[in-house]
Amino acid sequence: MEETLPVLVLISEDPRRSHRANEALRIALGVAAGENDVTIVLTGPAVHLLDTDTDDLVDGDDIAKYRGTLAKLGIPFHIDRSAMPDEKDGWNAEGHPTIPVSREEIAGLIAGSRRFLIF
Amino acid sequence: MALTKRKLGLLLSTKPEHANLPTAVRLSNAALEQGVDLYLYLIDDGVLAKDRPEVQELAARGAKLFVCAYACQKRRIPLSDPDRFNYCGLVVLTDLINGCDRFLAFN
Repeated sequence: MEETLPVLVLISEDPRRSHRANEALRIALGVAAGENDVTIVLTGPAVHLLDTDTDDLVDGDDIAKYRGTLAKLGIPFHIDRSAMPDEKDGWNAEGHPTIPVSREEIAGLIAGSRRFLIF
Repeated sequence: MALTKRKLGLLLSTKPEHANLPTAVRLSNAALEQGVDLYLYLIDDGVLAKDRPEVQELAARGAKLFVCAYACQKRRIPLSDPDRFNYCGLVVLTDLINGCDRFLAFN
């Protein structure tokens, strides 16, 4: 039964300052490619992984590429509702599927996962 | 509970100067002393720790070491000494995530 539970990748690193947000996204994609159910959660400044303009992001070209592949795989981003920017402010113009979640709901996602990768 | 032959997977993605390295090494040593099969995967800045003596000692004690080839290439670290290191990609990491009894990430 446990095998059916997802792997959760929670990212809070700021992609405007650190390459680690992109690396976390790459790892999430790699795990998903292994036919695992993956839940991606963005909290705090990590929500900028969905910035429309990736020029100001560290490894922005890679971020755009990984976002596109995740979208093709139908994997949404769970977004910490308290950190969610306004889409009119140059955020997620590509319309990547997002699911706003509260901190309590994030705790529930963690409780319902079998592995955790926290960045 | 007997831990012999149980599988523990560790992921280390931080620089050697980070407190994660000694924590992961101590945990690894404790696991090896209990007869646990230990799998250590170095990724991102964690690959900078691959030549550290404490990491090499883990390998000498039976830990299986895996090093992210992509992270090495990005940092211009030669993929040297393949007899000592298993250079690999995310497929292997995924296998460890799925195949180990416990998996801990030090990020």
